[in-house]
Formats: sequence, structure tokens, C-alpha cells
Amino acid sequence: MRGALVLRGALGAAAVAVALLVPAIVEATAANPPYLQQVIDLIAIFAIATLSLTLLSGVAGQLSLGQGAFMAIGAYGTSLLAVRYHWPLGLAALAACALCAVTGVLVGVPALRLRGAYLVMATLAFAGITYGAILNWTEFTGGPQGIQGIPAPAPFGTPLITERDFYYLILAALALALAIVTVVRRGHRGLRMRALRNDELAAMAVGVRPAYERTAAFAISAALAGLAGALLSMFVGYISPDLFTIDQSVQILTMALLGGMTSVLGAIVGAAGVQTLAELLREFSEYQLIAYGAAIMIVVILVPDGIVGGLRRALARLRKGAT
Amino acid sequence: MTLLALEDVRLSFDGLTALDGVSLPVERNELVGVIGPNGAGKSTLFNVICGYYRCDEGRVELAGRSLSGLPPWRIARLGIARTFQNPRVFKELTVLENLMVAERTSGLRSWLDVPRRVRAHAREWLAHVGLEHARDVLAGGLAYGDLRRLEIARACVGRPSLLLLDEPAAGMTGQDQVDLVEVIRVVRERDVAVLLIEHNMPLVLGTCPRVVVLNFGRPIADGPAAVVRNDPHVIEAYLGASDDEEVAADAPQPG
Repeated sequence: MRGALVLRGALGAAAVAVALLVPAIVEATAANPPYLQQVIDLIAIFAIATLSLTLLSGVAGQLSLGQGAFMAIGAYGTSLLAVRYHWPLGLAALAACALCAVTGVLVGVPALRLRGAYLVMATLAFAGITYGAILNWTEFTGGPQGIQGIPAPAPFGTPLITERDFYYLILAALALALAIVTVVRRGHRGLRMRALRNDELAAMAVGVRPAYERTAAFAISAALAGLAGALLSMFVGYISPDLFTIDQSVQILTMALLGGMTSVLGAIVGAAGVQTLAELLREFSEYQLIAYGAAIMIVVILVPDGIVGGLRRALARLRKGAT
Repeated sequence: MTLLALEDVRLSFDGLTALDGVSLPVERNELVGVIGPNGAGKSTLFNVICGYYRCDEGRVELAGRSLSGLPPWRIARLGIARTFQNPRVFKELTVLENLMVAERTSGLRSWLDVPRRVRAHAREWLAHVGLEHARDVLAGGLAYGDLRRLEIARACVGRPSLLLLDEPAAGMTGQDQVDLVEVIRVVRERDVAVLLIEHNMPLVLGTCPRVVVLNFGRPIADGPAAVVRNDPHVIEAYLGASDDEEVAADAPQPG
């Protein structure tokens, strides 16, 4: 038992060290360091968005194809507050995440009546409506032109310009998101959410209030997706509706399914896998959805609990064989 | 004081009468056996008490408080715990986690961790039902008898004032049944009333001081086991019992 804990701690420390050294490794080995670092930054941003699904789906059992819309609200909220109303960037991002949480409740409450495919359709519709709104509400959102001139964050006074500087900000946000999902999952409320996901009738029989738990999960999940959107807007510097099409939501769901939602690591693995795939298929971007569809089908059939879930089971089997 | 009071509870599904005027008082800390042929409405009665079904007519009260129209989770929090005829556990949670779910916590703390007192209380019940050895096993992998023990323990963790057991001895053999009787005794030590649906007649007649017999959704006998056993209506109901399926073997899916 103690040995396992020590091993865990060592692995965790190693992971942190590697994460901190990534820019140096990229610098030393990549043919085009800024490009690779940019891809890695995007992976970390999308890992946060994927974690929002790990919480909503993996813990509370609600599927959503609307996470891209929460990203959009996080991105537009941050950008509008910062650019048009000159709020400090950090405060703008915080307010945008809070707005996402409120929106999450507004979407989550009617969604309570829905399960499975119906819930997916409803959240998909939400993503469609949000996209339509930011595209057509030109006076407010800038329409197809989007919003430009989003300032670079400057947490320590000097603005973060390079992909490398940005990486540490995103890494800190990712660590926060990982901590939130891990803590919620292990806590008592998370336990009640997981029970609800397992068996709603039995959960009610021990006093779990389904509507309350699901709405709470929706709110936190939306805020996390909003955080990813806020980071994306700061990272790219300008935003436009085509960053937040329905495809974006599909991509996030693909990441979650590919990596697996039974563990927070799944979000990172899934984001890395899909983002790498997207970069490789950059020239065939119109076929991206086909690739995602194929990836989802393969994963769902071969490893229903995702890559990380599958690896864990394989590892457990190995360990059993060894003893 | 009367803990649970059912008054003239009626419920029918599409013209099929499941409960046909059930009146039943249960006292604090009482142990009442509920028997009757298949389809007599025993499980349906439990589902009405717990709020999974809404009765068409009649009243259900817990300690003087009406339960009519309350959702199941609310009724659970008011102090009625239950087990299901087909065990329903949280398969992807460990045995200990299954029990911890049933504790109530609130506030920020409940988001951050599982409070120590919750863990300790859950362990206590784990010991009462003899499942300590399986503490960290996923509940989905338990044997049938252990599923039933787990369900009973989970129901008790929430400190109910009334426990409804739906055929807890089904599929249990000799020693398991002895253990079950012991668990029921431990439960009642905590001032909990127990309603026990059971097909195993020797078990019910041997442990329950009071037995209620349902037939066609109506109580046909209610009294000490020795009296009920020799009641002509009861003998007739059992001898002439049809093998109809239970009207509602288990709770329905919501929605």
C-alpha cells in the first residue's frame, strides 16, 4: 500500500518535471520549435475543455455536444470585457467563467429531463444556437470578423508573447483544472454524482437529489470549458465564430472518448491524440469530421473506456498475472 | 407513537388494481412481516411508500407528516430507507463507497473530500453485515448474497427510522439467513422499524412478531404470526394462490 503511494508520488513528480521541461525539450529537438510549442499549447488548452466533459460525463453521467459553445462564451466574454470594456484580462476571464457557470445552469436545468441521445441532441442545438448568435449578432460580437486585439496576459507585469511563455500560463490553468476534477471526483459530492451515474433509482433511495447534482455538474463543467475558451482567445489574440462551430464540440467529445473519461489522464491523452491527428490532416481539413467519426467508432468498439481506461485494465491484468 | 401510517391506499395500472385500499399502521421500532402470494402488491406497496409510485387515493404519513407527492430522494431524507427486490448497487463504486454515498453532507466540505466521520460510519455498517473483507472491491463484482448485504448496509448508513426490505433472503442459504436475522436485530437496536417482505415463510413467521398478509392488493390478515398462520383466509389465499407475476416486480424507470 505504502509502496504504491510512493510510486504514485514519484510518477507524479516525474510528470510535473517533464511538463515543466517541455519547452526546453522542444527547443532542443524540434525542427520548428515555435510550431511544435504552439501545437502543445493548443493540446493543453483542449485538455482543459476535455476535462469539462470528464467531469460532466465521467463523473455525473451526462453527455454533452455543447462544450464548444461554453468555450465560445468563455472566449467572447473574456475578449469583449477586455477589449471593449477595458477590464483587466484576468478579471475578464474570471467573469467569463462565472458567466459560463450560470449558462451551464440555464442549459442544465431543462436538460434534466433528457437522457442519452436526446440530451446530446439538446446540447448540440445549444452549440448551434450559440454559433448562430455570435455569427449574426454583429454589433455585439463583431459577426464573422470576430474580435481582434485581445491583449496578451501579463501575470507578472511583462506580457506573455511567445508560445513558450504562454505554455506556463496554460500549464498552470491545466493543473488547476486537473485539481478541480480530481478533487470533485474523489469528494463526497462526486461520489454521489458517480452513484447517480451508476443507478439513478438506487441513488434516490439513499437521498441523492438527481436534479441538484446534475445541475451542479453542468455548472462546473461549463466554467471549465469557459476557462479553455478564455485561454484560447488570449493565446490566439483574435477570435471569430469559426473557432466555435459545432465541429469544435464534436472534437472535444472525440478527445474525451478517445482518452477515456474514467481518469483525468484520459483528457490529456485524448486531447494530444486528436490534436496531433488534426495537425497531420491539416491539408485535408474537410475530412476531419470523418477522421473523428472513425476514431470514435474504433474506440467505442475496441476500448469503450478509452485509451487510458484500456491501458489501466491491461496493467491490472499484468499485475494480477505477476502475483 | 405511530411511525408510518397508510390509510386506504389505492393504486391501479391501466385498470389493473394493484393496491385496493391498504391501511396499515407501523409503530416505532416495530418489525412487521409482509407476506402474500405473487402479485399481491407487496413490492408495489413499498414503491408507493418510497415515492416511486404515486397512489391514486389514500394517504401515506411518516410520523404525522404526509409523504404524498414527495420525490423518492426527499422521502429517503425524511428517514425511509429501502432495498430492492433485485439488488441495485452502484456497480462502478467500491463496496465502501457504496455505503458512503448514503451519508448526508453539505457545504463546501462535501465537494473537497469524504469527511472522516462518513468513512467511519460506513465502515461500522460494513462490519455489521460482515463485508469488511470486500471493502475495496467494486460492487459490480460481488456475489448475490453479498449484494443483498451491501444493499441493507447502504440503506442503514443513512440512519433511517423505517427500513423496507424487499425479499432480502431470496437466494440466501442457511447461514446467510441466520446472518440476515442478526442484521435485522442490529438494525432494530438503533430504534429502526422494519417492514420485511419475504417469501420464506419460516423466516417471517419465526422472526416477525407481527405479520400482515396481502392478497389482491388488500390486507386480509394482520396480527401475531401464530394467529395469522392459522387464519382461514390466509390458508385459502395460499392454497388457492395463482402464479401471476408480481404486478410490479421492481421500481419503474422514471420519466
